[in-house]
Amino acid sequence: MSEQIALTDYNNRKIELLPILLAQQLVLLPLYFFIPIWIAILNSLVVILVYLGNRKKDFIIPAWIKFSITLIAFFGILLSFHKVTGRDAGVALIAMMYGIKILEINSQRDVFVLMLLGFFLLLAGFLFDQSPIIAIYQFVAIAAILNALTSIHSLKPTAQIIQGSSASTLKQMLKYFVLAVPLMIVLFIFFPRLSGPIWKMPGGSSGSTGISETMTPGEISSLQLDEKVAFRVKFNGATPKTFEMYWRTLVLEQFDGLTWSRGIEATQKPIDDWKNKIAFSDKQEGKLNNRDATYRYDISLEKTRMSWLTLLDRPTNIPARSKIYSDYVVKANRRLTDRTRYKAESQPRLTLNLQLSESDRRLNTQLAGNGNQRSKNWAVQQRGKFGDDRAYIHSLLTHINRQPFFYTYTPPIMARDTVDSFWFDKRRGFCEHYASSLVFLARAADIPARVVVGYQGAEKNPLSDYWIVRYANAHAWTEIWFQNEGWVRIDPTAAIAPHRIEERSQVDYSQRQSLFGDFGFEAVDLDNIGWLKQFQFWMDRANTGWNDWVLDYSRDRQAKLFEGLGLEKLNIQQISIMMIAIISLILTVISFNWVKASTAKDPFQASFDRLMAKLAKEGVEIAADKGANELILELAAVDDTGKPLSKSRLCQDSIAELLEILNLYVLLRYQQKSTTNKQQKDFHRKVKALKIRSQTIS
Amino acid sequence: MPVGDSVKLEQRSTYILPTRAGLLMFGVIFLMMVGATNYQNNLAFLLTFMIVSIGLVSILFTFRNLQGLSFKKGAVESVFAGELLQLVVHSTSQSNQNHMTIGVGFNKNDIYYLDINSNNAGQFYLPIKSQERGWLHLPRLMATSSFPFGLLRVWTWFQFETPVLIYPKPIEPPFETGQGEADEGENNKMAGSDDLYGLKSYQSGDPITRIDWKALARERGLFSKEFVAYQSQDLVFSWNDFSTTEDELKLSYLSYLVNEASKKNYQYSLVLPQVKLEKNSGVNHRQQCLQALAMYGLNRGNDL
Repeated sequence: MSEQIALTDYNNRKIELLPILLAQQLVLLPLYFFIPIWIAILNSLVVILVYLGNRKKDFIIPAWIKFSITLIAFFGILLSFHKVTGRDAGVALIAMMYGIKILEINSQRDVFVLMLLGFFLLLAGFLFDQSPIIAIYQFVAIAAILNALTSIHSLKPTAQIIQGSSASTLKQMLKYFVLAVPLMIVLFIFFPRLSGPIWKMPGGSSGSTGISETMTPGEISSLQLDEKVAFRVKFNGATPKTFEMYWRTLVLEQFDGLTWSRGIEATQKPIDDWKNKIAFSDKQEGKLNNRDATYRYDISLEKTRMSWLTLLDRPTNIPARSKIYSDYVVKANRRLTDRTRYKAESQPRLTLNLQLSESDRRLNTQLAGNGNQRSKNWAVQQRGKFGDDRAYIHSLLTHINRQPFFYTYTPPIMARDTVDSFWFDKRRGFCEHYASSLVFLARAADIPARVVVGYQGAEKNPLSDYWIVRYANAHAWTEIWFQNEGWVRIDPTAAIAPHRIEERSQVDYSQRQSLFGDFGFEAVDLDNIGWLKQFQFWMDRANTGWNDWVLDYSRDRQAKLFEGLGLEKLNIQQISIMMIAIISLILTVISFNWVKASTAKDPFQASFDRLMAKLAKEGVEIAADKGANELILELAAVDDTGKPLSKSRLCQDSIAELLEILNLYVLLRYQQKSTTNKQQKDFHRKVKALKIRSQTIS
Repeated sequence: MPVGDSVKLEQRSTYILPTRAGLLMFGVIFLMMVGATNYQNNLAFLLTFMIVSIGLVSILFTFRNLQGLSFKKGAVESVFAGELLQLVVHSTSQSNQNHMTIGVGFNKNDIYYLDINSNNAGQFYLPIKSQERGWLHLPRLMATSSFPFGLLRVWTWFQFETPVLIYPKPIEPPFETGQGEADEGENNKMAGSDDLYGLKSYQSGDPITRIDWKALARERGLFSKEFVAYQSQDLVFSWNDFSTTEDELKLSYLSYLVNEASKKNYQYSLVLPQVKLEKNSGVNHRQQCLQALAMYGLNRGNDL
C-alpha cells in the first residue's frame, strides 16, 4: 500500500521532465519543416542540455548559458528575417521561444504555461500546411500534452500511471478523444462564423491573376501577371475573333459589401434537361439566336484543383461527366487535379433567360444592406434621367470613357465602401473594380446584373493550330439583364479610353512559352476514363470531401447546411443555443451512464453486504475497515482445546458454513480475473440459504 | 453534505471550479479562436474546438475521479487535551475504477494525497489538534481532486458523526496525594506478564515467546524472561484531595495521577463526586478512569 503525501510535499515533488520534453518536441516537430533549420538544431541542443542536466543530481544550468542561448536565438531570427513580424518570422520566433522555454521549468506553473501554449503552437502549423496528415498528427501532439499534464498530477512516476504500461496510457488518451471528438464536430458545425477576419493580418494583400471562387477588388494592391498556361484550345471549324473570346468560368451573384461570391442558390440548381431547354429556346427565340455563330472546340485545361470547367461563353453543348447550372456555369463531377481535356460547343450570341424568375431577379438585384450609399443615391438619380435600362447602362459606360478612369494593376486599397471609393474618388483599378462597380450601379437602379469571371482573349500558337490562354488572360466582366434581350454581356473595361490604360498592361505577352507545350500532352479525357483513373478520382473525391467540408466550411456552407436541415429561419443566437443544447445533452448522457455504472454495485459486493447484515443481526460486530480476509482469520481462530476464540456466540456449524462462504468470496472476488454470471448467482444463493445460529446460552 | 461514520461521495454537493491553469487554458483558447478567425483557417478552428472539447470532457473525468469513493472513520485513539489526535480515514472505491491523486483534509491548504485503486483500500492519517477535554466533534472533511489535467478542481465536504473523547490535560499536582507512595517491595511481587523483572533459566512449559533470544544469541544459554505485576498498596485518587482548586484543574491533576499510576502498573481507584471506579490496573481500567474524568460534568446523552 502506498503512503499518503502531504500537500507541501506534493507541490514540491521533483518534476518529471521526460513527458514534458516529449510533448514539447512533438508540438514543435511539424513546425520544423517550415522554419529555418538552425532553430530546429538549436532547440535540439537545448533539449539535450536539459535532459542531461536533469539526469545529474543538483545540476543547474548556469544563468549565463541560458542568457547566451536566448541572445543567439533572437539575433538569429533578426538575421534570418530582418524583422519579427509577419507570418514566417512570427512563427519562427514563437517556435524558438517555445523551444528554449524548457530551460526555465522550475515549478508546476511553468509546466502548465509550456504545455497549454503548446496548443497555440499546434495552431501555427496550420498556417503552413492543411493536409489531412498534419491534422491527424495533431492528435499525437495533443495526447502527448495531455500525458504530460497527467504526469504532473500523478503521485506515481509517469511510467506507472494507470497501472503501468504505455498501452494503457494510450487507451486512456483514446478515451478522452472518443468523448471529445463528437463535441468537436458539433462545435465545428454549429459555432457561428464571422465572414471575414477580425483584423487584417500583415502581408496578405497581393493578388495573382487566375480564377478564384470569390472576388474582393478592394483588397488587392498589386496584381501579378502570371504567364502560366491556363488552358489550350483547338477549334474544329470556325474560329471566333479574339475580342469575341470570352471564356466563361464562374458567375458571381452574391455581394456582401466587399466580396463577390457564387450565390448559394445557384449551386443548387443544375439543369437536368438542358438539351431540351436549348432546343426549346431555339424554337421560341429562333430569330434571336444566330445559328451561324456556333463554335466546336477541344479544351485541354491545366489542373485547377477546382471543379469548374472553362468554356467559350454561352455553351450549348457541355462535356461528358459535367453539369451545367442555371447561371451557365459548368462543373465537372470531380476536382480537376490533372490536366483535363474535353469537347464542347458554344454560341456567343445565345440568348439567355428571356424570362427571369422572381428568385433570380431578387438574387441579382440584391445589394449588401449598408454601405456605398453615395453610389446607390447617384444610381437612382441617374436612372431617373433615362427612359430605359439600356440607355442608363450606356450612360455609365460613357461615364467611364469620359471621366478620368484608369486601368492599372496597382490600384489603391479600398477598405470600405469600395464602390463609392472607386467610382467617385480613386478611379483607378482593373477589371474586377470595373465589373464590380458596374454591377453595383445597375443593381442600385433595380436592374438585374451579375459578375462573370473567366478569361478573355487567347493567342495563337504560331507553330500549331491551337490557341493558348494564360492566367494573365483572367478577366471579369458583367452580364446585365434587359427586357426582351435576356442576359447581355457588357465589358466595362472596354469602355476605358485607350490612353488611360497603363502601359504595363498593354505589353503584349508575346510568345514566350508557346513554343513549349503541345496539344498532344497526356491529359485525362473526360469522355474516356479507365478504372485506375476512376480509383484516383475516388481518392480525390475523399480529398474533395476534406476540402469541401473541412477546409472550405464557411459561413455560407454553414448557412447552406442549416437550410438543408430546414433550419434556415434560425438566427445566430438560436443556432448558438442549439449548439449549447446538443453539447449539454451529450455531456449529460455520458455522465448519466457513468453515474449509473458507478452506483451499480458489484454483484459479489451486494451479496457480501447481505451476509454482513445477517451477521450483524446475530450480534457479530464487524469493524468498518475489516474485509473478508480479516473476518476469516477471526472466525477461524481457535484456542488449544479447539473452541473458537471469536467473541461471538455463533455455533460451530454456522462458523464452518460461514468460513466456506467467505473463502469462496475471496476466491471469486480477488483471485479470479473474471467470473461468470452463474458463479455470481450460485454465490448469491448460498448467502441467501445460509442460516446463522447462535449458541444457546446454557 | 454527507454525514455519518461511513459516507459515499455522490454527485450532490460536489463543487467544481477551474484552477489557475484552467483559467490560463481559457486564455489560450481565446487566442486560438482569434487566430483561427483572423486567418479563416478551418483546421485552426477544428483544433480550437478540439481543445475546447477536451476541456469539457475533462469536467466529466475530473468529476468522476471523486465519485463513487467512500470514506469510513477508522479507530481513533483518545488523547489528552493539547495533544495531536490522529484520525484514520479508510477510503475505498465503490466503483470499479481507479481514483488517482485523491486529496483529503480539513481545508484546502492541509491536504493529504493518495491513489485509491478499485481493488484496494487506502488510509489517510489526519492530525487534529485537540483543544479541551470532553467530546471533540470532528471538523468537516474535504475530499478533492484535480486529476487528470489539473485544469479543474473538484471538491466536496463530508463529516464524521461520532465525536472523539479527549482526556483532561495531565498536570502534575503540587503535592503528594493518595495514601502514600507505593512501596515496590519484593514481597509484593506476583508472577505476571506486565513488567520485565529478570531472567530465569528456561524450563519446559514456559511460553516460547518469553525466551530471551538476545541472551541465546550471545550463547549464554536458554533463559526465560520473567515478568511481574507489582502489587502495590492501595492508591486512591479522589476528587476531594484537591478541595481548594477549581474543577478543571482537579480533573487535570487526577488525569496526571491516573496516567502515571497506569504507567507504573500500580493498582488504583478513582473517586469522583458521582462516580467511583474500584481498585484495579491495566489498560481497560486506565481508559475507564480517563473517560470518567473526560466526561465529568458533561451530559453524554445531549452530546452524542
